[in-house]
Amino acid sequence: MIIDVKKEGNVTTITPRGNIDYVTAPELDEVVEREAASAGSLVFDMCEVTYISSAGLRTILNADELMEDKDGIKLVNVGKEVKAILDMTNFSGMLNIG
Amino acid sequence: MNVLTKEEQIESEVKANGIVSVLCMLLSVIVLVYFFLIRTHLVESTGHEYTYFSLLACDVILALSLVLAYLYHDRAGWMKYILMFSVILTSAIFCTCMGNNYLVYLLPIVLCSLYYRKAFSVLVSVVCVSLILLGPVFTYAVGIVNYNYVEFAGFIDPVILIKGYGSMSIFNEFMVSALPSALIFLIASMLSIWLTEIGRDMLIRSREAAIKEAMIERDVSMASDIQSGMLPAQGLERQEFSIAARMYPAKIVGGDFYDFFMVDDSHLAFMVADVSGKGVPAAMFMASALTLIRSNVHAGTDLAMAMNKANRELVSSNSLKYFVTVWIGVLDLRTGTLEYIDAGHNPPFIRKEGGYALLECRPDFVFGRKNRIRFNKQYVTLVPGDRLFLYTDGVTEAVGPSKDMYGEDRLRAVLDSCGGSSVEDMIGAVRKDLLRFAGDEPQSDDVTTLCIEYCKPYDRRTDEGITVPADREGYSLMMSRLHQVLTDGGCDPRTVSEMETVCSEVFANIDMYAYGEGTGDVHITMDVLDGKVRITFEDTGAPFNPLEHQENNPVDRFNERLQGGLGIMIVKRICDDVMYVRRGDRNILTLEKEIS
Repeated sequence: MIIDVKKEGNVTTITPRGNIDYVTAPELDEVVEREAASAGSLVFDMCEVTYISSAGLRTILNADELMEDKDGIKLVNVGKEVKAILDMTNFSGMLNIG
Repeated sequence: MNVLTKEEQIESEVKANGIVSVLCMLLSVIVLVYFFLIRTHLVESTGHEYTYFSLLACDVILALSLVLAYLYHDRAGWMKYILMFSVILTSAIFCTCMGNNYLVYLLPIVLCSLYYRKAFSVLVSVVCVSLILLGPVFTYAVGIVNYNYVEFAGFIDPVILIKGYGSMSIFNEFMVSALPSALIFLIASMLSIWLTEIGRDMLIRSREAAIKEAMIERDVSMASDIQSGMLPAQGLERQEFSIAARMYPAKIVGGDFYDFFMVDDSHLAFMVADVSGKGVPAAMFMASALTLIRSNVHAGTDLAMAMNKANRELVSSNSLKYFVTVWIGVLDLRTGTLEYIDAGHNPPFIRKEGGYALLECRPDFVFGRKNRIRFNKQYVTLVPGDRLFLYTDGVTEAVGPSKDMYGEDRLRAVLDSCGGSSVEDMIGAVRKDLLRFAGDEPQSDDVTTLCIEYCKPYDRRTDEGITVPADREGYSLMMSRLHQVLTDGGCDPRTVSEMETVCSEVFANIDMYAYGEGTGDVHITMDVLDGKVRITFEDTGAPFNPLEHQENNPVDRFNERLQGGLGIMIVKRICDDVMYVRRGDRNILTLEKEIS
């Protein structure tokens, strides 16, 4: 999976180009762990994600925990399919979705 | 609660007032008659010359209280005092005028017990007994004496002489006449007070019984609703067959049942059954038998194995030693092959080309009673146009007015006469003929009938499926095919993405858990049929039922076990139906979702 990373000041935007499932989630995990060390806050641009499986949710949760002591994470451009999964699993109440 | 409510008290008093009013009317007629008899000197009163005025006064008072009772019949509170006052007054005057005829006091003493009030009964009794004691003193004073005695010089107007007993003193008269009467009436009063209490108790008890009865009736009628709610209400809408069934319970709840449902897309299960026994206990047993059979057969395993398992489960919970006779069949809609098991039930009728004939059945032992029973499958092949008619013995053993039974021959005749009418109409025709046969005889047993026609073979092309290795390569093969199949099948993007998420979860599960460190294949079929997406996964990995895994609370971020439950939770929430079977060495997971 192609994952774009863009840094603006201490805000790092991660854009996964494709769906997040048990195959692609480990790749995203790697990127998240690498970026979390230096970033002040993480933004996930979900514009190209049509589905996210539980493995992907764990990645997001992991990122949220890594950034807990800093400025946290944010999900943007969340499509309605992904939003449905986030709602179903009660993640939407816990995450910052913009 | 052993007191009467205010409403009940008022109701009983209004009723008592009615009875007392009627008796007052009779009393007033008697008094009136005597008034005329004495006035016209047809009869000589023993009393004073003003006797008839007293009688007239009585009548007036009675009439007045009757008018009041009529006007205020619902104001029970004070009306009883008015009525009882006039009855007592009339009794006193009538007694006095008619030669100290104490018997009339029986009237108020008995009547007061109608009011179910102890205090009121005591009051009336005390007044009456006092009047009996005081009455003679007054009557002597005005010169009225008893017929049986002679020669008494009164204070005002002596003396009535009747032939010869010698003279009597007031004291003597009092001792031999008034006192014994008063004592007898004292006993009668006690009796009346006792009756008051008994009446009251009975009223309370009948009220409680009525409440209890209403509760039981309500419970039973709810049980009946629940029972009929368990049976499929309508036929299944399929081109391959038509089916109809009805159960007519003899009591409000019955021990018969029927059921029909699709085991999978191409297999129809249907049955009729009869629990030994009737009423609510039999209905409850029926409910657990129905549920166990349905769930085990629905699991899609071999019919005999499913029935064996359901039997063991039912036996272990059968404390009342009931049993069920069951006839159950599973029809393969593709081939017309009908597998069936007959657990001690009547054989059904089958219509091949000619008319109806009993289907050959080797019955097994009844269902739900013995643990070690093994049921045997039997087979018959149906061709399009064939019909089966299932029933319980409530049909063939229905009794007519001449005490003969309906029997199989009559049933066969009705079935033959139905010709090509619909399965619903056949059920109706049998019901109608049974009612005609039974006439006025009450229905003694539940009547259950089920009719099915095999119309045409199931010919829908279903997916042959693909077999892929349970790894990343296989995963992307599956995902691209899934996208293709769902899009071609006309699914909306939302459903497509939801099913992609679901299949991603399931595949990940198989890769990670079913084969562990090793590797193996997954066979996946994908269908879009009847507005439903249906996907099956088959693998030969370790037995693993994902549905048995605990749903962890995904919100609990500190929960280390988050790993397991989340994916399955997503699968269960998205799909309408998720079924797991272990068949041989294979895990088979079936997912269904209606297309929105």
